[in-house]
This record gives sequence, C-alpha cells and structure tokens, in this order.
Amino acid sequence: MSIALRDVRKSYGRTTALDGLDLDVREGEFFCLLGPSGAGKTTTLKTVAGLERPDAGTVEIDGRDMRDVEPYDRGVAMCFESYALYPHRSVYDNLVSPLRSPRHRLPAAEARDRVGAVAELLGIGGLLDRMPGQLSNGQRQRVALGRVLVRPARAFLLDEPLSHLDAKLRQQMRAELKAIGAVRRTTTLYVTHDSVEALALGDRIGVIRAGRIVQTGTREDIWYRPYDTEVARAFGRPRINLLPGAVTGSGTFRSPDGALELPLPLRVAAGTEVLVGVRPRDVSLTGEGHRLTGTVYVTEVLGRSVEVTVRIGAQHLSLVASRAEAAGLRPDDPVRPAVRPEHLLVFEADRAGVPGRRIGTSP
Amino acid sequence: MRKRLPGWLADAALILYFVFSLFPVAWMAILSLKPANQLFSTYFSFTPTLDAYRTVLGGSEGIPFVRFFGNSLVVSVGAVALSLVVGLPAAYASARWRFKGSEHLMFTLLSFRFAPELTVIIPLFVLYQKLGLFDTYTGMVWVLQLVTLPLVVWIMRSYFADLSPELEQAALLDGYSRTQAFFKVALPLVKPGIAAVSLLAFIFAWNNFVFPLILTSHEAQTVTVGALSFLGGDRPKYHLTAAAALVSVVPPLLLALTIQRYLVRGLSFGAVKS
Amino acid sequence: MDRHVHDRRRFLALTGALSAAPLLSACGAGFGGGGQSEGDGSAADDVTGAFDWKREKGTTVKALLNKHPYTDALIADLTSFTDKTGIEVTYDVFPEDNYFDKLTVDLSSGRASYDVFMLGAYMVWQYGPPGWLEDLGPWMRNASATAAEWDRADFFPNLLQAGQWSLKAGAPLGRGGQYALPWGWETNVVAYNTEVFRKLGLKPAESFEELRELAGVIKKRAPGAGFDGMYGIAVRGSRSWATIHPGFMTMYARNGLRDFTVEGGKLSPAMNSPRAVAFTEDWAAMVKEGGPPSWTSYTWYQCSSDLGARKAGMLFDADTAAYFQAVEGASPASGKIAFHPGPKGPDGSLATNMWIWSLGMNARSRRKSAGWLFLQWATGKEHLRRAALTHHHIDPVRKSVSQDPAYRNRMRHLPGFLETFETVVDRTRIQFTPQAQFFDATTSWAAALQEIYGGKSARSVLDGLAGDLREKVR
Repeated sequence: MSIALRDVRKSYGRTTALDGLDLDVREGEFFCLLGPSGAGKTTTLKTVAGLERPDAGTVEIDGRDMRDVEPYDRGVAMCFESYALYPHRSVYDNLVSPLRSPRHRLPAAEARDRVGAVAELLGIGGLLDRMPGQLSNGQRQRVALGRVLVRPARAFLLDEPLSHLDAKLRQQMRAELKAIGAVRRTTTLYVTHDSVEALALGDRIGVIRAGRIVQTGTREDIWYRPYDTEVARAFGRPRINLLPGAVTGSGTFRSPDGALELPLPLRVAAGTEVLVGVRPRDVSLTGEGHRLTGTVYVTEVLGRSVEVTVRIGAQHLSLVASRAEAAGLRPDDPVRPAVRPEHLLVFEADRAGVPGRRIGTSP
Repeated sequence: MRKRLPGWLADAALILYFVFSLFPVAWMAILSLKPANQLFSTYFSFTPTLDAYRTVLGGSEGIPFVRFFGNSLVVSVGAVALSLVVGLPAAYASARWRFKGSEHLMFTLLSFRFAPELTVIIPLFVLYQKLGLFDTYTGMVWVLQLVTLPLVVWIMRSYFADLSPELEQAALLDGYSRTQAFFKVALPLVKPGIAAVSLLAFIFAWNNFVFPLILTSHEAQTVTVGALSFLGGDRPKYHLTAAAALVSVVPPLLLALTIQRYLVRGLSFGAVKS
Repeated sequence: MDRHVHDRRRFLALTGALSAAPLLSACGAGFGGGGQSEGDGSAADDVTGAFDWKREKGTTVKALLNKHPYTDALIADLTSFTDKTGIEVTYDVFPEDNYFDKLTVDLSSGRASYDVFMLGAYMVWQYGPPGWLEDLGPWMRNASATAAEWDRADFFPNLLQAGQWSLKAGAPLGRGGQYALPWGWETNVVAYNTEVFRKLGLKPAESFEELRELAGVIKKRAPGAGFDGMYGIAVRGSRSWATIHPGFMTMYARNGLRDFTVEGGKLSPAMNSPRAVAFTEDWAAMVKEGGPPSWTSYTWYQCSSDLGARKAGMLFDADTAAYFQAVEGASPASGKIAFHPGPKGPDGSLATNMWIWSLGMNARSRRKSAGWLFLQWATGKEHLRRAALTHHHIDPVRKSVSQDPAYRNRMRHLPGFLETFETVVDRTRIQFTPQAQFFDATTSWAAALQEIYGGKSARSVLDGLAGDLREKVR
C-alpha cells in the first residue's frame, strides 16, 4: 500500500505543525521520517492515520483520497510514542483489543491463537496476565508493537517506538524489528529523531524540518548528497567537518586566514562564500589525497578507532584514524592529514536561520 | 526537608482534630436521644430514649418525614443520574474538542453556580407553576440540574482532559468507533472521578434547600425543608430536629462508604494518569 | 441556604427577589392594577341575597399555613367547616423559618396558588402596598356575605384596627382597608420563675430601674441558691427584626418613646432622641448585668427554652412564649412560671406591643367568596372557642372567648396569666409606625442594639441608624 501526502498544512492555534508537507511512501517500503522534536513527525503520522484532520492538502492511501475516512476505515495500525496501552486492561486484553473490535473481529479461539503467536514472537508470552503498570518500558513497547502486529494492516505507522528504551535494548529491538516478517512485507512509516536508527532501518529516509520535508532519499542519497548543511550534520558521528571559507580565483577553497587551501571537485564562481564538508572518516593520516598541514589539538578514543582533532590555522578538522595510526600522537605534534577531493561536499555558506544548500548536481 | 513530628504528637493532634470535627455530630446524637423535658437542662447525663426517632419516623407530629426522606432519595438520585447521563458526554466533548463557542458554553454552564439561587427563584416559581412542574419529582430533578450538572461537567472535564487522547486514538485504530472508544476506554478510566463527582453532586442535591422550599409544597418536599418542621411553632423541639437531621445524614454517608475505595483516588484530581 | 438562622418569624424579606417582580409582569405573570380601591368594584359586591353558609358548596379553598399550635387546632377542626359549608380545604404547612419566604414568593409571583394564608399584622405593611392583599372591609360590611353571628364587635377593637391601614407610610392604623383579620395574638409581658423569686425573696419589678436591678440580683445570687447557671432576664438579641418588637419595643413604648415621628406625611426616625438613647443604653446595660451570656444569638427559641429549663429567672417576651413552657409537662419549669404585666413607664404607662397572627386573602384569588367563608369561620366564635379549649389557641382575639368561664378555668392554674392579660389588653396595640421598610428598619435597629451592647457609644450608633433610615423610609 502506498501513502502520499500532498501539500498538507496543519496548525494548532498560532503554531504551525505542518507547512505544506509532501511525502510519498511506496508500497511495501520501510520509510523513516527523521527530524528533531517539534518538526511535525507525529502530526504527520496522525494525519495519515486520520486522527488529525489537515487544514489543507490531501492524504492518499493507495491513490485514494482519505478525506472524511475515519481512522478505523483506513486499515492502518499505529504504535504510539506513549505506547497508549489501556491501563485498565491486562496485557492480553490490550493485545486482543483489535481482534474484538467490529472491524477486525475474530472468533475468540482464533483471536487467542493469534495473540499467543504475536506474544511469542515478541517474547512477551509470559506477561499476558500482567497490567501495563507492572511492565518495564521495554515490555510495554513490545506490547504496543504487539497490538499493531496482531491485526491485519495495510500499513504500519510507528512513532518513535524505540525512543524510551536504553541503548542496548534499542539496538536489539532495532534488529528484531526488521526481522519480523510482517514488518518486512508491509508498508511502514517509521518516525524517529535518531539518525543512526533511520540509517539502519530505512529503505528510504525523509528528513523533516519545521513541518516540511527537506530531503527524501535512500541512505546513500542522504549520506553522499545531503540537501544542506543541516542534513549533513544530522547524519554521521563524529559529525561532518564544515570548514568556512571562500572560493579563490583559481577555483580552490581557502579559509579566511589562508591556512587551509583545498582543491574543489566542482567549479564554483570565484569569491563565493562556502562551507566545505568532509566526513571525519574520509580524512586519513596515512592515505592518498591532498595533504594539509596542522598540529594535533586533541585525541579521543572511540572504541577501536581514535578521533583526532587537528588544528589548521584557526580551524579544527576532525578525522578518524585507527589506533595504530594514532598511537603516540600528542597535542601539538605536527601532522599531515590527507583529503581526497571527491569526498568533499561544497555548501553555500549558512545564513541566519537558513542552512547552506549543497552546491552541485542534485541527487 | 520537613521535620517529621514525633509520633505521639501527631497522634494527639489527630485525635484532637477528630474530636473537634466530630463534636457537632456527637452533640446532635446526644440531643436526639434526650427526652423533651431534659433537652435544655442537661448536658451528658440524661435518660436516653429513642422517642425522638419514634416520633420522627412514625410521623406522629403530623409531619410525614419518611415520605420526605423518600422524596429526597428520588430527586437526588434522579438529579445525579440525569447529570451523569447528560454531563459525562458533555464533559468529554468539551475536554476533547474546541468548537466555536465551546468555551462560552462551558462558562455559561459554570455561571449557573455563580448566581445565588434566590435571584432566579421567582421566575422559576412562575415557570414551574405555568408548566405544571411545581411540586413534582420531574420539576425537582430538573431544577437540581442547576446545581449538579455544572459540577459534573466541570469536574469530569478536568478528568477527561487529564486522560491522554492517545488512548482513545489507539482504540480508533484498533477498529472501534468513537462512541465505543468513549465507552470502552475513556469512561472506565475516569471511574474514580465519576464516583467522586456522583457523591459530591448527590450531597449538593440532597442538601439543597431553596429549590425544594419554593418549588415544592407537599408532594415532592424533601428532608431539608421537612426537617425544619420539627422546630415547632410553640417550643423548639431540637431533639426531633436533631433526630431528623441524623436520619437524613444516613444516605450520603452510606454512599460515601460504599464508594470509598474510588474516592481516595478520585478526590485527588488528575490522579488517573497511567 | 442559611438554615443556621433560626429566628422566630425570621423574615427573609426577599427584597432582591421582589425587585424582579416588574420583570414578571412583563412576561405576563404580573399582578393586576394594585387591588381594589375601597368598596369600589370589590368582588364582595357580587354576593347578594340572604347569607348562606352553603353558598359555595363544592368549592375547594387552598390555604398556606405556618406550623403553629393555632394551625394544629385549625386542622383538627376542619371537618366541621366542611360539614357546615360543603367547601373542601386543602392546605400546605411550612415551618416558621421558611413560611414567609414561601408566602412572599407566592404573592409576588402573582400566581394565586393560595387563596388564604396566615400573616402577621406587620406583613400588611409590606404586602399591602403592592396590592397583594384583598381588602376584607367590603366583605365584612356585606350582610349577604357575612353571617350576623360573626359579630365583629366581639373582637378586641385594637386587634381589628391593627389590620386596617390606608397603605400610606406613616398613616395611623385603624383607618382604610381591612387587610388582615386577627386570629390569635401575643402580648408582651414578664414571666418569671416563682421558685427563684420565693427563694431569694424577690418581687416582680414595677419600674424599669427595678427590673434592671432584679435581673442583676438574680444573676448574682441564683446560682448560689441552687439554680445552677441561672441568669436574670431573657430577652431576644439576635440580629433580626424580631429582636425589637417584643420586650424592647414594649418597654420603649412605656417610656413614651416613638420609632418615627410623622410630620406632614413625612417620616423622621426618632430612635436617636436623647431619651431614646438613654433608654437604649439602660436596656443594653440590663442585658449585660442580668442577661444571657450569648445574648446576640438569642431568638424566641433560646429565650423561651431558657425559662423552661430554669436557666432564666425572667422572660420579657410574648406571653405565649412563657405559656408554652408553663403548660404541664412541657418543661422542667412547668408549674413554676408566673406572669406579671412588667415594669411601668415613668408616668405609669403600661403601653404594650403585640404580635397578631392574622388571616388574609390573596387579592388574585379566584375563589374569594369561598375564601371569605373560610376566614369567617376560622375567626368565628365557634371555632376559636373550641381551639382555645381543646388546643392551645391563645391569646384569644375575641372578648367572648377570653371571658368564657371554661377558658378562664383552664388558664387559672397559671399564676397571674389572666390578670396580666386583662391589665394590658386595652393598652396593647402596635407601637410601631406603619411603613413598608419595617423589616429592614427593625433589622438595622437590632444590629445597632448589638453594637451598643458590644460597647459602642449609644449616641453615635443611634445617630448613624437614624441617618440611614431617614433615606430609606422616604
């Protein structure tokens, strides 16, 4: 089932939640909607579910306009960020709730089997008699997910289902989620503020900001061809280096103090103020490429690798090196990191409130 | 950090408060057990008798107290029931949806409680006479809505507002209609509130004095008005009044005891969050 | 609402509510053109021919009654009225605390749900001017409507006059329409506990100075003489109009004092005249020296039950207040209560104020002829005699009843009761100046009394009261 939102607008009083949002989720795809809190992610989901009525614009499911279609007639299942478990009912009753509803009613015995199977799948078979209040966050999250999976659905809408879990559990659930057959087969719109999660899960990713979609694409699109500096910053840890400077007459990049000069992979008009982006993992201490001259500012161990921050004139450049390469580096030691021009991303300089857009052919 | 009182001091304070708050009730009980000629001449040592209760419940003073009592039960229960039937959906709607004029509507409802009953009593009296509602159960149940309905709507509104709308949204997505979501999800979750507000509304309805005073005469008169008849025109018959008052405390008290387990949770507003 | 105010004859003058009355007429429920002017166009004129008790056979009259021994006597005797006339009487009885609220609402709404009702003579001043009360004069004068045996000359004339008024503020009673008929009444005298008087060797006071002294003496000496907690004199003190009219107004009048002076039809408050100030100071001093400890809460109920409970040595209030305590078995003091006219004024005056439970008719009643038959019967010799002999319908408003040997015989066991009654009966009348703001004015007066009792200067408090009232009674 496909989902399409066209120029959807929604505001609550003076607060604009969705500001002309366009979104296409293709049949069977796992689509991650990524954005900071307040960007309109939940509103988008609820609009698709029919829980919020857009002020303008259309929501289509399988090409059909959903205006005036009640939530229970849209055939979508949603998992709320708050889990929205019925606190006065047992886990079993929560799970079986859709199967007792007029829309999805099953005979009691069948419903019991179905709940049993889903509970088994999610590892909550032992919790069926408990009340939601007696569960841990991780268990509640599984119950909430179970309530989504227990019923037939044309699409799953999952609102930050993993956000309240601790890091270890989150990683484990992330893996499990993708392993669930139903999720693999069914169109899923998944909302998160965690870029790692989005990159790990999403067949495609939509970046939402202030009620609009900034960029939609595969993880490669987003990674290699970010729409602007903010998208670039959102993905990847350590964060991308964004070095301010200007384009020289010869088409190279030079930092304001002249300490840093780089060849650019594309032609940009001389004098343009730009930000040059390079991801720390694309800078090496020993590899090929354009060599820069600087001194070690600080080093920080990241598991098997080391993040080295190098001072070049007034600028700092982060790079990730192997432990062997970084062994023995002390602050103020001279180093010569190498950058390959094809790894460079060139952005317009940020202006007040507006992140600089990437310069170059669009993805 | 607050320092804790030593245990015995806290106990003593509690006992003192207990005595303080129960004293009027105890005094009434004592009065009601006194024979008429020892009413004013004794404090605690007298020959206790149940005569006052016999007189009150036997109707021998020409005052059909038992019927007044029944009337009070009928109109109070009726008023609370009607208020719940009308008020719960109203409270829910006003907590969940802002529509044009919804705040005005709510304020209007609340404003019924601002106006002293006396200011509306004469127009009501005339209307009731014309509509044939004077001195009827229907009329009393209806007019008590002025007291109980705003209470139900405003208190229940805050309960519903405290309830996450996502619970009902989840029900919608589970395949339930909006009506079913209200009855199966929202309503059971505000049960403590319903218990608390029912009791409050019942007490308010039961205790109301001006409406039954002016809008009933004989058929639908309630205990609040009826109990005063025992004061008498010649001599004060406080033992009868006290007995009547104590008897009329019984229903609210029983109700409070029955729903006590909900009350503890229900009277602390907003305690229903999951 | 405010059920804590248990004032006898608490008169919640629904002033706020009454101001809504013009609105009501706008919506079609208003009153007619202010009742009939005297004799002119009265429904009484429609009654012609020979008088006949059965004239309205089959009619039903609706009565609003106050819970009272008079009412008990009336209800017990109703069948004889129905037998006599073929008229059914349905009635509602309300306790005194709510009775007048009920009546005021009913009258002001113009609905005429009751044809006849009980009222006090003072209520005429409030209900008369808006035209709510039927002028009974034309009925009384019409020989076709009124039986000869009703005998209006048999009423004590001062009582009948108390219900006659021209509806003009300050105009004297006894002229104009008859808006209420006397039914049962109370004269304000002193009742005392004979035991304590005997034990301490006391005699009833003949002057106010003596009364004040006597009250102090009892308060000082009675507790030591076996009368635990006894004080001297019970008088009302609550912040209510009803505080003024019994003992206080009686003694005030015996001092030759007036509430208002009337000049050229204009009322001017007189409770701050130098002599009135001096008297009021003395009254407050008497209460302080010999009155009850929580005097400012004292109503008919507290006063009378203290006498009955042997807590008060004397009671200066309605004779019936003491009577209901004195009858056998009513209270611990039964059989030990005696009556005395009370102190005389400086010039020997025994002017006495009174309360009259009266019967009136709704000007908007649609069954006036039947209503009048009922009033006639209820205030007639036959019923009143029976009520006085078999129930407690006292004091009698008819001379014939008060002189009836059986009645006198019944009262004889109460020392001084009949003698006191006969001493003051001719000097008892309404000592107030008729005006519609009566309840407001006397309530303020009671408040002033409390302030003076609390220690404020009587002069300035009463000047303030007079100043306020000057505006109100205009």
